[in-house]
Amino acid sequence: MKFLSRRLHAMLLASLALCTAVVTRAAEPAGKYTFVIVHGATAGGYEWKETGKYLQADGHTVYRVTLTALGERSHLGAEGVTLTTHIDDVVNTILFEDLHDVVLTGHSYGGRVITGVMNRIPERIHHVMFFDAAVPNDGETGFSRRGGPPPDLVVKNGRQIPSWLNEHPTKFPHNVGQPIGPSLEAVAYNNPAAFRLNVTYVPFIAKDQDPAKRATTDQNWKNAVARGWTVRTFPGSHTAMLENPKGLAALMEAAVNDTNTPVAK
Amino acid sequence: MKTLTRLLLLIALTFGAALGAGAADAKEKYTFVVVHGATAGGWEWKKTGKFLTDDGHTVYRVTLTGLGERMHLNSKEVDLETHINDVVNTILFEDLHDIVLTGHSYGGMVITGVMDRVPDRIKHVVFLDAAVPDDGMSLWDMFGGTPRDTSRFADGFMQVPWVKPDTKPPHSVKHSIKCFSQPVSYKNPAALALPVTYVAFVPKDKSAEERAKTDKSWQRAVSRGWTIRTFPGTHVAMVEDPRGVASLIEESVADQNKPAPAAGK
Repeated sequence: MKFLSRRLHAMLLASLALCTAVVTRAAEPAGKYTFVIVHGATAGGYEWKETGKYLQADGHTVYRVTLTALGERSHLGAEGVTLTTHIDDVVNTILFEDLHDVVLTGHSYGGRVITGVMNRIPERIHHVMFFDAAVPNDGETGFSRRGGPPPDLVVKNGRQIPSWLNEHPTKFPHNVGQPIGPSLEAVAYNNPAAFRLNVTYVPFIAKDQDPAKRATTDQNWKNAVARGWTVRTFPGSHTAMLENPKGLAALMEAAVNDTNTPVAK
Repeated sequence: MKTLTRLLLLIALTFGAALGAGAADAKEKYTFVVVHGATAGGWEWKKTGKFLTDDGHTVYRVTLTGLGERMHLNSKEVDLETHINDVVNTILFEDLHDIVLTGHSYGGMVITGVMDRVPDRIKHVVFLDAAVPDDGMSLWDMFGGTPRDTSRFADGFMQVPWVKPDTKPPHSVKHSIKCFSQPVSYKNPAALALPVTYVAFVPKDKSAEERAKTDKSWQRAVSRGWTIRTFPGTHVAMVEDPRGVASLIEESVADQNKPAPAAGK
């Protein structure tokens, strides 16, 4: 019940934000945003191509950053790649492209990357969105919550090889083994300016899933609520952006001005 | 003198043809893959890319590994092959077809390798004040071997001494020498058949005719039957007149090769 009222609160806030967004847009026809999109483990910027297209069609600017050793950067070896490498991929894109007031989004593992980006350059960020993403606390590695790497972990040439992965793909684009380094590195999330950023947490809810139940068990969701972030659910699997890219693009546009709920210390 | 006359005639013909074709193709939208030069980054093409995007085209500004926003990956092990892979994999992972591939300066080495690898994905190629190597040539080969003045070369890199640690991005980055010493492959018959435009940036106080006599890249372009265009400006004309360079690129797309002179080289 507590969750429900929070949810209601979040929805109220969201509709308020929507109204504000509409007003802002009417007042300033330029009301266009710069989205910096970070993909998840084993993937690449390509997974967000369709979503990005819809955002661009609406007049926004979109950067889909592909993380080192993944996607079209998979020819770069995974050995030596760390979480800091991936955070640098995004931070340096923002700095070298001289981007300001960005809407920063991360999917799945990308939540760990954007957490690090928030910590490094909060002054460049207008809003943050976590899509079915990890919401780590300061100092957590990718394995902290399970007490260490899983016993059946397979690592080859610095990459984690899940059982479903085709190690010899012939078609593009394709998934590749996730570098192990980023999972072993603790993320820093201790910058007070980063804590003040407005954030929207978006769990993708599969058909057979009960969101109320998930809200009580999903540590990422619980962290988001504890931090006063806006929660919006979106129907679909963990890769809902592939199933409904236009719907997700619309959600992104609607969420850019979500405002955090004050939280009791 | 005979060569000169022919060159001038070629230039005049080219411009005439381009004007006619430009009007007919005004509504065609293309996918541009833009490759920057040595020590630079995609950032140097941001404004030109913006004009192309505004005109309805799709633009990929690939930043080469170790440079620009990928500077955190810089190492003296980065070579020409790494950079060719950066571009080829962008085309494959983003599933791009009928692309217009452009390269500036050192980027001419990179796009030559890309032409050789994935000619089936390329509609047109534009060399912008760029290196035009023969098969098996390195950039050093084009300039008569390893540079005698080694003052700017140290620790495996071409240095950029004007960039201090506190320089605000975007800025140049030291460039691995292996990129300049590694030969490029250019022997794929399908690559040799691609229509290409060679654009010389010619400063106000310089003579295009004089340069055509000494510039080996220009001469190779002519011998291959490529279309020759000139554009007023320094070696970084795209920074001086991004709108003009964007228009030039748009017009060049329709250029067709002339039958190469019987003598070949």
